[in-house]
Amino acid sequence: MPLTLEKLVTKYGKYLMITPTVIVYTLFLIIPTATLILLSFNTGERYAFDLSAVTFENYVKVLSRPTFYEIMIDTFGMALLTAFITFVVVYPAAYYLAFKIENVRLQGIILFLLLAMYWIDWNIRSIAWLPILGEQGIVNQLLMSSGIIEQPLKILFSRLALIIIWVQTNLLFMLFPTYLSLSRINPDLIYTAKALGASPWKAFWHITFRLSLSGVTVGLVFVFVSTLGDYATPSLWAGGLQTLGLTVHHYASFFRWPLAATYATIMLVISLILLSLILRISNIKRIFYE
Amino acid sequence: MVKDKAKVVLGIYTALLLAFFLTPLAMVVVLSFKAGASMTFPIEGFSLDWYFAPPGKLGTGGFRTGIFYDLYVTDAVKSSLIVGITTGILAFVIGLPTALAFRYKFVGRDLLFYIILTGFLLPGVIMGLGAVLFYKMIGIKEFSIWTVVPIHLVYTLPFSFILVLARFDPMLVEYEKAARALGASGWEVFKKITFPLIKTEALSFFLFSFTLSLGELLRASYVIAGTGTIPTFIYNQMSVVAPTPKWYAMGTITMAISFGVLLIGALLLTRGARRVF
Repeated sequence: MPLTLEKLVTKYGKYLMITPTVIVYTLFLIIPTATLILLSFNTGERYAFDLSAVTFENYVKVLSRPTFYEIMIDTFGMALLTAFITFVVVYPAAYYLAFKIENVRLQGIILFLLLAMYWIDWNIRSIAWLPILGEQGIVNQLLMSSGIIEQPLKILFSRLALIIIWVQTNLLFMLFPTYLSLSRINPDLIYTAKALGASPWKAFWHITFRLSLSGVTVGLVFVFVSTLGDYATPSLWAGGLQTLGLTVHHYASFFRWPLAATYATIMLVISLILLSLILRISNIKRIFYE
Repeated sequence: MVKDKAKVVLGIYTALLLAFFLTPLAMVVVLSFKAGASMTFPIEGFSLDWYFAPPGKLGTGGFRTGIFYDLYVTDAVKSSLIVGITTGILAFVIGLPTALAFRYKFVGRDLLFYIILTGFLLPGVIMGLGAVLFYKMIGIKEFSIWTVVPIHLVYTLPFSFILVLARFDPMLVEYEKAARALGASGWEVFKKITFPLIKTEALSFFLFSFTLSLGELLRASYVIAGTGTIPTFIYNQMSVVAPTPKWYAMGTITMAISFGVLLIGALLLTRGARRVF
């Protein structure tokens, strides 16, 4: 059979369709990340990678600093805590949306409002807590006028503030995969379990929760990685807490590109290991295609 | 007696959750109409000064004007809209064909999926720093809104991409095959079968990329110069100027833009098949 243009298009058309995306992601994701990794093996204030000046000096320097380990503990502690709290906060709502709402329009409105958190200007979202948690804020005014406290609590510039703002920012990352995996559970499985004598709690724990774990894992990783890379929230609202993201940003703003790249590479390696490990376990692509 | 207690409890919980996180945002709107420079309650009086006060009315200094008189603010809004709209259009142009191709098996499909996903998941500070180094390496020293667009494209596309993938009707491939079997050309199939069925998904590429780009700060602030977009502008100002309710006014405006666009999108999307949302 002759190979017509039509057949070629049918056979290779899909490669044509993905080409622009491949080019964009190669140019603006893969190459920049590779540049960054390479530069972490140089020193000084240079921004172009120099093969003849390759050294491990930065890594030796960074890893031998005692403060580095404090930063790591703070960063990962806060990121893990935020991911876990977001999960606890979001799961019941995701469950409610997936199983307990018959009214489609109400479901749409709730999802829209929950997702809206992410689409409000980044700064405004955090400033918005000022009239509530600030020293002159509603919480302090209420507590003081009722005589519970004498001095205003410093809620806003603390780890607590950071967690509140991060949970709000990342609701979406948790909600979306959790809801998706919950709504894909075959209800027959739950009915069968109940018909066979399982209590609602037991059915939930052994069937629903188990099956939603893939979505939950994806959500946890999304939230975790997103908080890792945030330097703006900690710099403004965490009251002097030093994080890995903040450190990268600090060196970058003083044009110490190679050192910034070193911290960024450490963050990158950790994020990529986590992402690939956990996304493989939960088999994320199954949620979206195949 | 209520039949499903869990439903009631969970419903109340979800309502409280919404209230907890939406209250601060409602406050932003309310406080943007307050008179005086203090950022918090009590409200001594209402005014539209933070929107419409001409220069000089609220005291001296470039930042003491209503946002509509502040050239920096209008400039930032303009930049944000240009970046957002361009990103949205590009996301649609390159994202939709890719999503359609993902319904078939091809070499490197999984790899491409993970790479696209990484665009969204790569920590913001890494992407920002990487972009600066990349631009410097290829000789771009002057940053502008156009250096932000590709970075925002890489960051915003994955979100609509996975959303669209999850919404695709599994039957779509079968409809296409049927049309091909009946003699339609590839382009005809796309025009008459595929596109009408995925119109809403196509729209979501633009909407989500646009709104995500509008609020993005961490990456943009690395590769922008001048006034910047709304988030980078406010972020830079916040570290030098004492905050006034003017920020609330800006927040209200950006919220209005995002909400307006998303509301239109949500209405259009819920009209289509409801598999995911």
